[in-house]
Amino acid sequence: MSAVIAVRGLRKEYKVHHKEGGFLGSLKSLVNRRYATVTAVDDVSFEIAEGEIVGFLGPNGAGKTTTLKMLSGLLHPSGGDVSVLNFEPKQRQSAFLRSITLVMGQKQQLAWDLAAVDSFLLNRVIYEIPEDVYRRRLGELSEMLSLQPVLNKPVRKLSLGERMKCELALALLHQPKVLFLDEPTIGLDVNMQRAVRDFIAAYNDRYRATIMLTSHYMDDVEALARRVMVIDGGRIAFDGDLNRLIAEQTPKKVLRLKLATAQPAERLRQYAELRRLDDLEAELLVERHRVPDTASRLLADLPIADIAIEEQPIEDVIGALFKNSPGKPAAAAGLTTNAAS
Amino acid sequence: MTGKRLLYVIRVWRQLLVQYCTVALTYRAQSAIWMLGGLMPIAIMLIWVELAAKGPISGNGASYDRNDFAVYFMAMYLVRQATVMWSVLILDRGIRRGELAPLLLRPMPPIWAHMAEHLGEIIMRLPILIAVFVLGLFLTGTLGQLTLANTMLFTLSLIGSWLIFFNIHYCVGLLAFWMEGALSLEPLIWYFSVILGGGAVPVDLFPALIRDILTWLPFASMMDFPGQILLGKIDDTALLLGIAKQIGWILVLALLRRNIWRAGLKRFSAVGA
Repeated sequence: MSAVIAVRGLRKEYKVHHKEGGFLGSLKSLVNRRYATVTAVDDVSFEIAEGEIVGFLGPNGAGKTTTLKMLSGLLHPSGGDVSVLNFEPKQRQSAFLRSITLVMGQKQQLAWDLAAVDSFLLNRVIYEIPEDVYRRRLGELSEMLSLQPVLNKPVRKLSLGERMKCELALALLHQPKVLFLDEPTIGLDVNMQRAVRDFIAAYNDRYRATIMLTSHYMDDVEALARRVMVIDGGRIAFDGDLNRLIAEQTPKKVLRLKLATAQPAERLRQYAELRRLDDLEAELLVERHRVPDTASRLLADLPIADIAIEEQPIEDVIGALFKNSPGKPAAAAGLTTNAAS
Repeated sequence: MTGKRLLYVIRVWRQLLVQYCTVALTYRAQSAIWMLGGLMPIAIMLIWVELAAKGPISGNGASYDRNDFAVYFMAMYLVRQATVMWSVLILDRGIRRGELAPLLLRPMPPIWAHMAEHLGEIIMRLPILIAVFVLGLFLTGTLGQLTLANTMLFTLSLIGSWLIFFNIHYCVGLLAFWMEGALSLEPLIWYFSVILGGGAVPVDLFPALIRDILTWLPFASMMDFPGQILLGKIDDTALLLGIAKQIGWILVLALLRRNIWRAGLKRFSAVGA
């Protein structure tokens, strides 16, 4: 399968103005301006094939958005080669811009004071979409995202979720082959997140679009991406199958127990590491190869009403990966699930 | 430009204008406030008309009676109102907060949207502006000044003024690529155009040396020149020279704008937002 996105040795360095805090710091910086060079992306290489959905993960400031901006032509790389659909993104050729989209959860394309449909009409003309094709696509997007009731409302009066759905539809009206989605579900409630996820999956399925997705919501990644790339400190820390990542990073599984009668913590610790005990509910962390044996012993020895064997939550997996990088505490990952967000 | 490209440009511009006329309608109250704020030339006109009550005011070979001041400052009113710009604000916000990024992702120059935003506003307020302008001339007994030739030339010079104003504002706005206080430079354009362009005193009433310098600056080209056309006292040589100066300034400023944009975009692409 040929690569739609090919990146080799990609690097991005910023020159950052260094200023001490406070008024004195400001005065000093007037006289003596100091700069530091920050490497946001460092020797990143990967390839993504047509139709792939790749979850692009990393803590805040790891280089995710910088990479996406370089891939979409907004930022010029300091070094390395980038090819997207055989275009060099930084040239920002019209044919390239017509083939991609970058959705930034925190920046909008929709005209704030107009109805969403006005922005759709403008994009129809800008992207030269024939009238009948426009109607068909708008119909499809409206159906997939349940947009009909909101299309004619002023954008400023839409809820965050409604606005995000309209942003997505607007970004996809010209039917791009490559989608760069930067936090497309940020700030959305659980139902809206699910709707957006379902839509992205359906779009990928229907048009074989290549999608790179960053998200702090691991549910997004689990639902959409089989392959994940983890970037940390500007370098790719992992690139591969999500399940392999889980297996590599978490040698233990979770045994979730529902007890018939309460048990002391010491008793449960005899079997495995106790992760949580809450009255009649307990969670044990058990090494993968010992799971069958431990589960049998627990069922034989203790009054157990129910038992479930699960993988560790994906955010723990990613957190563990970051923990291995010196100076990068797992908390910095800022990864959340719906329950936590 | 090929025929296909031209057709594309026309279609996009039509849609942009429709969109921004609609936006202008949404901001009716803001437009009304702006129009009230633009009454300053009329206030200045009243002062000059009063000063000229006892006879024409002369200097350096130029002479203005009450009617001349009325016509000149009604022209200033229309020029100022039709050239209201906020591109410094748009660019400052767009560049420093990264709002420019979505525009850069579209296969269309971002300046089209910025121009259309201003034009949409003008189109929507033009009927009221023209009504106030004609009423002002009528009340001051100078409506006869609006001959067909005068009106056509004045309209052309007004378009020239708009293009000069737009390019100056755009160049200043683009400085946001390098500096954080581009917005603070905006009032300077206003002061220069009022003081040096004829917004407070007709340029030919300045001392000769200063007048000669001012007539070569863009501020006089975009303010005083349309006023002189409406006055109808301008001879053919001065008219042609004035038009040439306007065209010259438009070209120089457009070139400057394009170069600043390219350099700025390079920087934006290097440091991001």
